[in-house]
Amino acid sequence: MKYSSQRVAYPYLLLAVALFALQIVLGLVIGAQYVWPDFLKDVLPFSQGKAIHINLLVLWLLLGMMGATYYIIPPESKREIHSTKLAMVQFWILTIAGLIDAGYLMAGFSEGRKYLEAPWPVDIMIIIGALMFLYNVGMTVLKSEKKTSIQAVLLTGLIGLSVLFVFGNVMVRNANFSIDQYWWWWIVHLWVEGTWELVVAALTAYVLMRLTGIPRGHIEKYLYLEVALVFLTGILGIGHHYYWIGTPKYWMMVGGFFSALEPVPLALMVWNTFQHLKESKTVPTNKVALNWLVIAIIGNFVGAGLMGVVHTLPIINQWTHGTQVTAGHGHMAFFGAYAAHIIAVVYFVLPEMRGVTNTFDQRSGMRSLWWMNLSMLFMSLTLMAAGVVQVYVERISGVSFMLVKNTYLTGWMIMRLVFGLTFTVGVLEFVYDFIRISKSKPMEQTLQNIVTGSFSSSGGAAATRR
Amino acid sequence: MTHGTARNIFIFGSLLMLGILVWLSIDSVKAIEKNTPPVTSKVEAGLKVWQKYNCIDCHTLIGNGAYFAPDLTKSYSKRGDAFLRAFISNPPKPMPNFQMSDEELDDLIDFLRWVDGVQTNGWPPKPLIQK
Repeated sequence: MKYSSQRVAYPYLLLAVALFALQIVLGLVIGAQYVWPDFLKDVLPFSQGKAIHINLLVLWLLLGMMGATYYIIPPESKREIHSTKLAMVQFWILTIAGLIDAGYLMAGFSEGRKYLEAPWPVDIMIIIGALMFLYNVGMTVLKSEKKTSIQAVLLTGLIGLSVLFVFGNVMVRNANFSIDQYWWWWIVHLWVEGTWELVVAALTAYVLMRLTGIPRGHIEKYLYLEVALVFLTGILGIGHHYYWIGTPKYWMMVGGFFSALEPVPLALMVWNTFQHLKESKTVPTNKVALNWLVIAIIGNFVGAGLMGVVHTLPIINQWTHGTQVTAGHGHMAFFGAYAAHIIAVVYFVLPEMRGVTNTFDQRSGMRSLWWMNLSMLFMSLTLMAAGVVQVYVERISGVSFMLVKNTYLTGWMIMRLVFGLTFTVGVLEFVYDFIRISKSKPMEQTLQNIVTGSFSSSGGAAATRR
Repeated sequence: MTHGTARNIFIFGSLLMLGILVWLSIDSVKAIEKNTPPVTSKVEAGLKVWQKYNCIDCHTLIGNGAYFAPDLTKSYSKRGDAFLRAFISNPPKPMPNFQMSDEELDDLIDFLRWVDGVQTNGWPPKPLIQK
């Protein structure tokens, strides 16, 4: 860590990890309610548990992106963050906004739109926080002598997602439910299949560059092409949400065509990453971060790309729309594309911040990686399989929804809960590891360096490949 | 491909796609107004009731929502006014009893009637095997 202001990333990442753990607790409760519908139903009805589960998801991912940005912007801009004080004020505003939202949802209130259940004062607080963030990061970038592609892509993504949040929140407030849903997708779809992809693409590029020691020019070579393809396919790919909601028929053609192409940039990212790994002349010492990063890139392609494209065409989607197939895809997509990326960044940032990149114990990190990733893969496959059963029995055969859910799907839902529990094992190990690395002393590193005679920087690319 | 070319494809390609999306959206919103029944003040109030009780985080509507409880797009034509009224007033477990006022219940049912009338391009498809 070269710049002291990078330290401001820590509270963001800490809160992100805490909320992630909390999100998983809520996930276990509502997962159990699929198996035992009466489980805790008076304390936390499914609708409330679900709302908090997905609100926490969005909030911790955004906090993770912000923390990651605050960490990489100083070395990218070769200067300190414009104002660390502002960054901390922003942190507390967002923390309080999160607390208000959690209390509001726990009390059983909602604004009644999925992902956007938060009350409007919370939305305003989030917008204020986002503006402070953009100003702070923007000023840092503007003052930097040399502008980089990573800065540009990152900022485009962050500005884009903020503008969409404001615009979407204004437009959804429509008396016509179909129009409300229409604009709602401008936030939800254009976030996860557009602007968020830009943010993680930029973060990935930076972390990969640092871990592998590959020259910037090579890393940035395909960055614009990748994000160009994300937008070229993803913007009109929004059409796959406009098949059935009262919208014109042409969306079936537009949405089907463009969303079928959405896996292309994600495949390019996978290919490009493996090219970089081959090209890399150094073996990164921080294997946990590198493994999480590679898994995130593959998870993005599999979860968001493949698991999405298999039910995106109207002829298939008419059967799968609104079934557990969507839930299966949603879990793997959010985990692979976003959660895993943020965890990868955490594993890159935290040891570097503590100055222990070359010495920290990675066994715990690797264990949590396997628990979480295998569990999530199987959970998603289980849900997708349940969705296919649901399509056959409910949608095609016409058996009632509740009968299907309470009989034919129960086995799958038990399996999902089991995978939820094994996922939690990984999360607990990750939280433990986060605290452990946070507390580790850079002194150990110094001693280690003296012992081994290595004085390499803590960038992570230490050992030279034979 | 040079760095600059890729950047230009990104900038101008994205702007082009965004332009097309804006254009199609203006057209779509107009089309939605034609494809949906008129929104009366009772329908609007019903949407507020739907949102107030966070129905979408259990049910789905036009296939969008939480997949935990049935899709209600065609509930009005399938079940009828009286059934829905009785069901919501005294729901079987695990659905909570929201103790809605008569006015809220009226508005919500009017909203469900409105949703039933949305032109959904044939969704949900009729089951291939009829009971």
